[in-house]
Amino acid sequence: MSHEHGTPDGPGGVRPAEAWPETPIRVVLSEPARGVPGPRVMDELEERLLGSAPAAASKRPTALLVSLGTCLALLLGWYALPHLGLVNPLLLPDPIQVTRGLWLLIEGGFLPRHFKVTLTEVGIGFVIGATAGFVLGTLLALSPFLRKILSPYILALQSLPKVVLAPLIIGWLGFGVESKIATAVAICFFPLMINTLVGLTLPTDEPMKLMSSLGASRWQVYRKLRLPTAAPLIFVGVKHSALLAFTGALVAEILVGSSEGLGRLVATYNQQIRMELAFAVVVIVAAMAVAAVMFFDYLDRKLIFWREDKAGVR
Amino acid sequence: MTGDTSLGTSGSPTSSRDSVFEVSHLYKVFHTDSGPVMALRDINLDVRPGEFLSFVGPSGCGKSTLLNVIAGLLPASHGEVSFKGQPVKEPSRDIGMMFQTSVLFPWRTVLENVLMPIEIFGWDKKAYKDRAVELLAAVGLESFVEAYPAQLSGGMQQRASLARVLLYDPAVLLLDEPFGALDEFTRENMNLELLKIWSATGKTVIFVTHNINEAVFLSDRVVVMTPRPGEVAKVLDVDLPRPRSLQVMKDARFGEQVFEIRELLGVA
Repeated sequence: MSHEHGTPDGPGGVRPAEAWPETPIRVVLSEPARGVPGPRVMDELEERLLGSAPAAASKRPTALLVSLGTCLALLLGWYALPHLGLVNPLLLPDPIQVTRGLWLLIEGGFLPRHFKVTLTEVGIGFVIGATAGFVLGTLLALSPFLRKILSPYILALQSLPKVVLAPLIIGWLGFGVESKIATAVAICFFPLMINTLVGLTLPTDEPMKLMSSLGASRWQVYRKLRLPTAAPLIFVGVKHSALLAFTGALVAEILVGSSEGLGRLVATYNQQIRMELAFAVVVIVAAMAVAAVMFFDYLDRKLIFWREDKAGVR
Repeated sequence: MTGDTSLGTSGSPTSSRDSVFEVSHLYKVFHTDSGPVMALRDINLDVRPGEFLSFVGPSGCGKSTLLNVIAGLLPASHGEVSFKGQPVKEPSRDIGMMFQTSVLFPWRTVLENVLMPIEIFGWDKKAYKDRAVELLAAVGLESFVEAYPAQLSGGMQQRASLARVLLYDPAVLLLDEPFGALDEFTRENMNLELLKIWSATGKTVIFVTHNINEAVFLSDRVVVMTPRPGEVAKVLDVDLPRPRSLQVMKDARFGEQVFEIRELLGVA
């Protein structure tokens, strides 16, 4: 029997519609077709229904206009707040002043130095924290024994707001780059560890049974099943960790009376009530974070091409 | 002890020495948080070379557990399972499994999925590629070789899963409700294809299902299992002629045998 009628044959309708029509369902036994009518000529109504353009296709420019409009409205609102006297203009400079502040910063020539310091702290802190998180998450996932003895401590540490550690770390490591890196590590380590742990233990009964039935080694199960299954979650952890590395490094910079870094700049301009400059630095930090997220989103799409908002093999 | 030579002699009476599997006094107890649960009690069973055998019973009767013990995936609590005369201690490459879900890895193409067992065995993948493509064509997936599983319907995914287990050519197929998640029409198609493959290859098949019609339609013998603790209520010989088409279901004998199983299960 042929399948031009498209009998749905999957649970939950997983198949995309366009993959269906050319689906050859092979009839192996030479059996007569069971009352399936052959292809027939479409009537006028059917042709009209199938031929009409989908109504949604013409709506795209509208969506773009809406988001542009939203952006404009937000900028206008921001501009209006200090000018209508709703907020003290000293505390909230308008967008034009902030743009001017940004220009002043760039012209001043000292920005690259601070930018580099912060980027280095964040970068090193992220690499160390993420690596450690991944390694420990992996060990915990693969060793139920380790998981059992360490889980109470992990739970305690997980619930702890890690920022509170920053002053201690500064006390131990001093006012240099080290304490900022260490704070970044402490804060960005957890999400990746937890996501690695959860991701690697995600494979369900049947994939594990398949691997066992094939006599797969522990390494093969890890490499071919666990790691790819965990990859989407691990990537979420990576993104989260990268953003938290910013938080860690900036918090430490702001707490320490050090002379360098973007966090330091914000704190200094804040004290000097040069709010347009402080806001300008915030804009730069935001741009860095957005760039980082975009970078990881790009990697995510490239590496985890099979992601469909569901992790793991079912 | 016989080798593969006896495969394909389906339906011929064999002594227990010719069995593919011998299950004797098998018990399986699970220790759960709410106490021990006896899943299987005193199972005795011979599986003949080349036969199509089904395990039928209500959910939770231990039929999947029995299949897993036979496969070497679960240890027995008591008793023994032997495969070709040797006690089963671990999974064997000569025993292939299929599950209710297709277990295709979404990051691999259909072809890469089918070749995965070859990779795990450390065999030469290139040598198996042509055969893999051939098998995919045989199950009607010739135009989906390079597709990803997400692009396939549920039935097509199970076809790919079937090609995967056929590629390394195990003598025995253990199928754990493989088509249970598919709709009725697709399942019938898959069953017909399975029968075709079974009769062409002479493999021994053990098929777990809770669908009585399906079990009678496919099998040489049906092992009817009672609710927990799982015991063998009866091993029923299906005496319908082969090759079977769906027409068999119109046969009065088909209805009688289905009804006999229903009575044994208390759902008549």
